[in-house]
Amino acid sequence: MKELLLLSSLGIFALLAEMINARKIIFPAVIAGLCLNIFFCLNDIMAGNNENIFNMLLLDKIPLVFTLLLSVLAIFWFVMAKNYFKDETNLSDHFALVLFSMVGVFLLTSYTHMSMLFLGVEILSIPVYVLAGSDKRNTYSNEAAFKYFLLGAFASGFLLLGITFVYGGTGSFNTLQIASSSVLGAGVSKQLLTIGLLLILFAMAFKVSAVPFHFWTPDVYTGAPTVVTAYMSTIVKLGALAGFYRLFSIVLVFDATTFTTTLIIISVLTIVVGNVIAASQSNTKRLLAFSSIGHAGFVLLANTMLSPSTPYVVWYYLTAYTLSSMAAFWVLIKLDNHDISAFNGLVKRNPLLAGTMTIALLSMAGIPPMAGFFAKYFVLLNTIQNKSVLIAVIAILASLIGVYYYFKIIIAIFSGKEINSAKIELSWLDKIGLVLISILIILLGVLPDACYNLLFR
Amino acid sequence: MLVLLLLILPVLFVPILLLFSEKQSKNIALVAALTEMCVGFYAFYQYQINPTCACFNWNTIWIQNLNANFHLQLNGINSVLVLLTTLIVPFIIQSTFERDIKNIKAYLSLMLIMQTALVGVFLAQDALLFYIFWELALIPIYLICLVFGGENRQKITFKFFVYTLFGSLFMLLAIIYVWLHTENRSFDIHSFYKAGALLTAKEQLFVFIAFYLAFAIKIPIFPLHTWQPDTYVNAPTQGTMLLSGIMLKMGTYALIIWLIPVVPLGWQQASKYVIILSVISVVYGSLMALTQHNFKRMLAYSSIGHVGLIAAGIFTMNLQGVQGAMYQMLSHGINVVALFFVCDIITNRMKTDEMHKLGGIRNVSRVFSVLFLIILLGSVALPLTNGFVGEFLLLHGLFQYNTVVVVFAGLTVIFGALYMLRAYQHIMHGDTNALTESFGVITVNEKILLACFAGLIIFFGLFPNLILDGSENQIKQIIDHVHEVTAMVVKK
Repeated sequence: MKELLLLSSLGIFALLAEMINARKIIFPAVIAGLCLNIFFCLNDIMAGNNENIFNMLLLDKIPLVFTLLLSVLAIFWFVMAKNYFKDETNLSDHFALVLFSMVGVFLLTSYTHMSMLFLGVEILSIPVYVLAGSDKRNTYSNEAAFKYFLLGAFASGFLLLGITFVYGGTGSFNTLQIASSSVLGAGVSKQLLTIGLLLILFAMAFKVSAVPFHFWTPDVYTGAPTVVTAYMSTIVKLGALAGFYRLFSIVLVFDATTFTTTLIIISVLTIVVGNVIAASQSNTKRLLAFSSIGHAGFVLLANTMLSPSTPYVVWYYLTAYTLSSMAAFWVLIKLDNHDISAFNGLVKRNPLLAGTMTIALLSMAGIPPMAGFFAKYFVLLNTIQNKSVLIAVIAILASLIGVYYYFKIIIAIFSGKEINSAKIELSWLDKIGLVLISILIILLGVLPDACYNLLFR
Repeated sequence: MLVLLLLILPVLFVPILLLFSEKQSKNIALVAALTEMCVGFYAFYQYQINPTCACFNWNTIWIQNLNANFHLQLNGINSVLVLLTTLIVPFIIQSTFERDIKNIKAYLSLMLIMQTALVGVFLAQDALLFYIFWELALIPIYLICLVFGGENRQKITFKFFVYTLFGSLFMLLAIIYVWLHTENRSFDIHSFYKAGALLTAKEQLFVFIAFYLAFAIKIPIFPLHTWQPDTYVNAPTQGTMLLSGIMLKMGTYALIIWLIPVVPLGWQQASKYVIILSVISVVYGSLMALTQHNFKRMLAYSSIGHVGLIAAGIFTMNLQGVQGAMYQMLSHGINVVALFFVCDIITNRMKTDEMHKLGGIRNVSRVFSVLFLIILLGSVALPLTNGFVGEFLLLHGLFQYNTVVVVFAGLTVIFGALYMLRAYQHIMHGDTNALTESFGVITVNEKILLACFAGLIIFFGLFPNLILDGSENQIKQIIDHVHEVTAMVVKK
């Protein structure tokens, strides 16, 4: 409960701080609050607390480790965004919106009640609709916000419809009850339940931008201000995928085969389409948008293969991906424009940015010893253990395509002819953040089970 | 402890190297490589005296969930390759002296990181660890070729990278597949041997193909060689040396340790075809070398021929063949690095390595021509040079396997002499022309390096037992294991 209260009160504080002339302390206060949140999470994980909040949220181990990841990512994001919002007057609304949407992520990781699922999705999305359009004078930003909002609202409609169908089928909103009564099958209308769950599945697939519900992603990612894109491709993705995991691991177990087949098709399509289209992009933001689709496909694939190790596999993949993606966007923000040619000769302009970008891209391409390698490895292992060697081969080939477009950027960094040879200056906060994030990516890759021993045992 | 030191020593020097100035950094890197060489020699020597010493084994838990261990061990086979790596890298680093290279610090650091990865590949006794080092070795060499390479390097290095990564991903699949069939899920090499032998013949064939793809691309064996000539020619000299001298030995070493004993039945079914492919590479590489006008490109093709013979010898799985392959790995490493260094000396002065533009260098620099000739004869496999021992054993091994094959494989000796001597004739003999007149004398540093290479070539030609004795026992064990498994199936 305290994590939820802390996040919400931080949001309210950030909103009000500008009114009481405390603008300067927003940033330190938010960072301190997030650190406190990390401490709370660690404390609860170590103590093994299982908090049940009004039968609406269940804070067992898995939501807590996701919240931990959320807080760490948020700290990186705020450090990254601090300089970005410097010139703008309305720092506090941006920060407040982000903090509120993090509350949505928190709900999505821990819900046991369908209303909380809906609230989580909405609380997560509505601030992001606003943030996507926050570059008011830019038409693309407006387009992004409008598109995202319209399609997102549509998906929310599906979600709501799905929830009502499920309620009609089982007479309950509680996910645990739905699962248990659907297994028993007494007094349950199977058709209504299946239709309802499929609708929920599609709505969630929209949120994680799985193929064929992905069409909004590239435009929204490109149009939104880059920090917001970074936020969407890391924390929003984390929330949506964590919600997906919770749905799949608890509710859908009763008729696993129908949903597993659907989900396997969706995830393989997502992996293949995401990677193939990304290969032809020349705008880095768009490229990363499509590659994020591909990564979401891998997480979905991990979701389909339920085994005792699944939560760790999902968590590890999300950690590796979100950290790398954060690092990549961090570098992108410092560049002049978003074309791949902006990376030309980056190693001469700023070696730290070049190094971080290389590590991030190698990690996303799944090259050891970066974290991304073991992320993919665990997923493939689960897949092969489920006797789906063919799917593993498809995933491997798709990730080989990934190597192609990630290396386009690496090649540009190291051997492109620079268009603008001015050195790029970084603040010390940026430097610390970039170094830390690179170290984390490598450490996670070198000791892939350290987090398991620490958090999941 | 000693093996751990062998592994991490080069990397430990990287931060030190970065602290110094550009000029000093070369010396620091050389110190690092020489220290590593001393440790390598010491380990090799100790291993000959006391192979059971606990210092050759390092085993700690690495990833508990997957039951993967950080297990390094020095044994008869990999001690030779570690010796080769530690021996060659100082030469490679010294060859940067008197050359003007931009960003030299990054260049040298990448080389040292590369050395750690290579030693790791050879020492790893755990499949996952082996895979990690295998991939890790790819990143520094890729960056070396990309940043410091010649024209058109983006496309060529990219082709190289994707080719090798493509192979390794299939190896990863094979590793996971065998791992799932091991008792209590272990990546240990011995449980891999046990589990692999119990797979059905069909499964073993698939695992064999998946592994073979990765290794054959790395070596490279026809028809997976197409990345090699362009990459060798375009890479900077030191990159080519690392690639041809040490990195391709990762592939041949893995054939002995990680491929054939893991899936003996796969080997039994496929050996005919893979030996034929290897012999095709021998003939193809030699013929292509004959038609080249560019010295560096000729060396690249000749390398395809030589390693094809090594691979063929390994796939025969008899003692002479595999021992010959072991020895040839060492001597090919020395010879090819020496030849690329000769090539570098010529291109550095003449700004070209087109052989028909050169000629008459013998008249300008006598010392160079003598040393070049010794190195060249080592590659031609003249008796008393190291190349002879290896090729003789290899052909002996192949002869036991099949006489028809050996006729074709034996062509390498004739063709080798032909293209090498032709190259020597074009470059060194004849009249001095306007270009080669400016060749000048070679510097002391170059003289020392060339003399060392020549000395090594003759030394290893005279005392092959130093190497062969150490590896014999373990190779016998592996061969026995393979034949035991295949014989058991025949009985059934």
